[in-house]
Amino acid sequence: MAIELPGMVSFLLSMTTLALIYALLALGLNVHYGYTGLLNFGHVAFFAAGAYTAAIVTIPPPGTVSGGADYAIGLGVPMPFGVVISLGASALVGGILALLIGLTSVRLGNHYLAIATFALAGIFEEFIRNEAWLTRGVIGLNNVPKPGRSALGADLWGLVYMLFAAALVVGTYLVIERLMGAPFGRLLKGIREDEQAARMLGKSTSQVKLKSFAIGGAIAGIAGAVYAHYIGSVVAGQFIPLVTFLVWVAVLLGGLASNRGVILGAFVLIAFREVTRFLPEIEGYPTLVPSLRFAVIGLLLVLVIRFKPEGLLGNPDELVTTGDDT
Amino acid sequence: MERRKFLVRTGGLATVTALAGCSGNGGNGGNGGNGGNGGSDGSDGGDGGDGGDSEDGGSTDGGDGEDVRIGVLVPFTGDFSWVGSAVMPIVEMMAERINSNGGINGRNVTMIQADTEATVDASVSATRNLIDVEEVHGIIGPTSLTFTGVTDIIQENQVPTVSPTAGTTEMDDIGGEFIFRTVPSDSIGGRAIAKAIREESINGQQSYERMGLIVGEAPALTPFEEPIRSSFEEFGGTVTDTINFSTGQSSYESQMSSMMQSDPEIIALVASPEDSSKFFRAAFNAGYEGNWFLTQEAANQSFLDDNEQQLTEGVFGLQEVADPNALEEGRLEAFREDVMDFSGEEPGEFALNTYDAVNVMAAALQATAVAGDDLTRANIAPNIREVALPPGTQVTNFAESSSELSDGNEIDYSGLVGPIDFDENGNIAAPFGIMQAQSGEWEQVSLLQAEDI
Amino acid sequence: MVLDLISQFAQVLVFGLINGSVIAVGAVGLTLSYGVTRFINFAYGEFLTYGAFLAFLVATVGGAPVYVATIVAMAGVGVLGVVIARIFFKPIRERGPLPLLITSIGVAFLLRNLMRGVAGTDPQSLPVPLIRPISIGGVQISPVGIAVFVVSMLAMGAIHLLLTRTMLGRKMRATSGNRQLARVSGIDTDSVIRRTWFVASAAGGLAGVLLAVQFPPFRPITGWRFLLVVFAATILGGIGKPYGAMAGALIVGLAMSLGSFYVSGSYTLAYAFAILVAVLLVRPEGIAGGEI
Repeated sequence: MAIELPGMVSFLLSMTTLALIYALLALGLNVHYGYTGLLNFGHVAFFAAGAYTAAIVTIPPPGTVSGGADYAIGLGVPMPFGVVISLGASALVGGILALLIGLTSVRLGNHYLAIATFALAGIFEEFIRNEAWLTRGVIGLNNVPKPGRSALGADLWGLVYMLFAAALVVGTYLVIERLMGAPFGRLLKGIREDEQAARMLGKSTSQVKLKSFAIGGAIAGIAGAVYAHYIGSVVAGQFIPLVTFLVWVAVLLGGLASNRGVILGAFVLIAFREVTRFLPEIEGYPTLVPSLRFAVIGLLLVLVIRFKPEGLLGNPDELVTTGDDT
Repeated sequence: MERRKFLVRTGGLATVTALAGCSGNGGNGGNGGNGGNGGSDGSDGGDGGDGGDSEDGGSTDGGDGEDVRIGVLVPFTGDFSWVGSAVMPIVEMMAERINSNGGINGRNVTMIQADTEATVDASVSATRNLIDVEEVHGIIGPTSLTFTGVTDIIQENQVPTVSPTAGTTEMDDIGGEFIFRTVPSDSIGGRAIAKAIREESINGQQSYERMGLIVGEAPALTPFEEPIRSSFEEFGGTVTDTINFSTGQSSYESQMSSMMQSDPEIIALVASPEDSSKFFRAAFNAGYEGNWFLTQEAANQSFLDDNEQQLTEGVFGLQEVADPNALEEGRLEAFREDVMDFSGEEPGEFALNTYDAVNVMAAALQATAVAGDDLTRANIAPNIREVALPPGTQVTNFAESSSELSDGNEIDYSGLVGPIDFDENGNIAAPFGIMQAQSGEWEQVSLLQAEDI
Repeated sequence: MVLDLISQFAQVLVFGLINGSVIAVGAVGLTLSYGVTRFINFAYGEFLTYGAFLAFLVATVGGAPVYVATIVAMAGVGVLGVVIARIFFKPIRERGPLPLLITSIGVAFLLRNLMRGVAGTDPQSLPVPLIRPISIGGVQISPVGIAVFVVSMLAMGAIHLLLTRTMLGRKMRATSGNRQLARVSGIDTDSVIRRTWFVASAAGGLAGVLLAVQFPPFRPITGWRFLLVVFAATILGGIGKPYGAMAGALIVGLAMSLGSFYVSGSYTLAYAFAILVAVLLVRPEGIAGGEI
């Protein structure tokens, strides 16, 4: 049943799938920041937690990998329906990790949340690198199964998987829209606007913030699972602060509290990265242009905040409410 | 009003993206010999060459009018950008050579840079771009850092791939059909270190019994730990302590103090040059009196240049040395001169490996073309083994390969790194030099051939 | 045996103190700038990096002695800080701390990658001579480390004098206490802010040079990596409180040193982070009682 697709199509499918993964991450961060005003700078940790969970749940039991040290836990849940279990587990772990991290700092103001989440993500990253018995450290878990690949053939699988990821994004989008339309969503925004007022109305703001944390973390966990089963390899070197930063750019670019906006933001970001990947190099200075690409992303962030803080699709009115002082 | 703005903006973005995407494709002729650029206009030696429009890289005179494209899949940004900086000049030089020697059956070779950013998702994109968009005929790369994500894609697209840098033991069993390496595995390198430390006859100083092991947590470093430790114990030595450290910290005083507690005579240090400098300094400040053994990562000239002699005097290092034949026949010196002429600098890290990788790739391409087959990946891949293994006339560079193949002869490429006889998993055996830093220069105290290890 | 343990402990303490003294210079700078601008500047780490590279340029290409290079680096980065503030932060300063914070992240990215593009990513070192450590009771102390410590203490002293004895210092304290009030009482807060940026950035540049001297070699990412540790110290000390920052820095330095040696060498930044998080949980206003 293998079909051949022209090269360009394969490439676009691959790019789209990666953009969809970042879109999921952005949706999660949007729940944190766009809706609840939480400055979460440790988002990559939830992504990592989800990816490693998916890997550990589905890789074959230990003793089957050659070369280098072995891992201690592999549950080997069979494909293809194992994907469902994998996704569920990743969402769970992502959500729980977010909850734990949130517990340490929800009572604090935003500066502190920013630094605390950043620091905790840093500790988590060191943990991933060091505890090789679980994660194989920097070498990584490299035999994560790709569901349905052998049956469909590589090219068709690329298409099907992309559609799978897209379905997840759409599904998540619908769920969030629903949730945010309900009183819960208004509560989140209320907290974002004026936490004191919300508290005075008798709402336990900490609890609500924790819920928001967990939801966003669970979504990031799902993104991790999608990533793991797409690339087939989960390596510590992937989960660096740069990923958190890129997701932030996607969210800010796309627009506060606008789910369609952040999905768009993710696509724009990935498109930019891919398109600029192949700018002509300057002979003799091979690292100049590649570094400048990143410098431009930084500049982009600054410009967006300055001139279009509500993002491409955001509502300028949402903005007024996130400039608080705490 | 809002909706219109949104549509206009998205439309605008999409257009820009599409346009940029288009121009991104044909345009990478900036490297390697497409006439017009950087001096070499290929007017020597045969067809191809001048007239190449460097902008869209697609048209040259002679041959089929279409370039042969080779992707260079290594990091060019981030912490490991030095790999890209080291490999690219050699690749560019080789491309020039190839094109001035008639190219691949008259077609010019273009090298296409693809930054893996040292992260897996970026390298998946980069690989996809090379394979699907640029439609490369072969790939030089990837590195130990990101190969895990891309070997599947490479294998299912049957892309001939030769890595000049990836020594990780994780790749020991996966190659042989499409993936090859011109760098010996760390499992051999680690064993060589253990042996050299253990035997005075090899290191010329002492038969060390008590060795400490310090290994950084990085994909290019961790694979050394197991081979060094188990080999050393096999040879009858004792590993006093093993310390794994997080790379890239400001200092390692605590780790050094910890290590010194176990009282090693010598420490095998598997770390980047930068971290090795820090360890040396920490050791100096803590009064460590024992010796060191460095891996190829740090055992290079620039490491000695960057550190005070006081710190490095007498330190041992493992180096991938050139094949003794290459040395004898003056090929190494010629290579060095060529690189100096081309880039103005000494050959850096992986220079020899890159030279061999490109030569093998080019020879395979040429063999395919000369045999009259279409230049497809599936046709090229088996020729990589063909051109590198006996039987055949011994050749050592592209000019020789090209002319022998044109005469209808089989060839056996023998490189600067070693005989380049790929085993069934695409690995090579190569000699290692046991070096000692004396007065700021590396002196070879022993040569360990693959058989000796 | 016990003596060995004691001297080992003393050794670890010495490392921690020297480490802490480098952090202190950075932490004080960061906290001073927070005091008057009221946002956490994620680009601060880049001032350290630029300080180290500028000193490197002056010392190797210019051939000047290291102390001259240091002074030039401090002045240069001080000016850079003022310029960055003017271009990127001043125009949006009424928007509140969050846009400023996020902008500072973008600026950090921009600065770091510019440096990478221009200077490459090779590690560099300052031409500091290698001197044998002195042994005091079994504890090895390197003269370079002593010099770094002394310079740091001098810098702390200078900042102390600045804050308590000079007009500018008084104005800085007033402005950081309550900007509205300061303005109302006739202080030109714009000028105070600008000069605070200069001092804070120059401190950052100095911290970068000390970092490069004590822990060579350095790369474009060095400042960013160190920033996290500086954050820990700043928050531990109470944000906006210079004396707290000094104390916080020494504590963080000691904790990292002790943790790496006695607990596990694989984790290092984790100890600084752990302290950070612990502080936030238990006493977020830090040692000296900064605002929450």
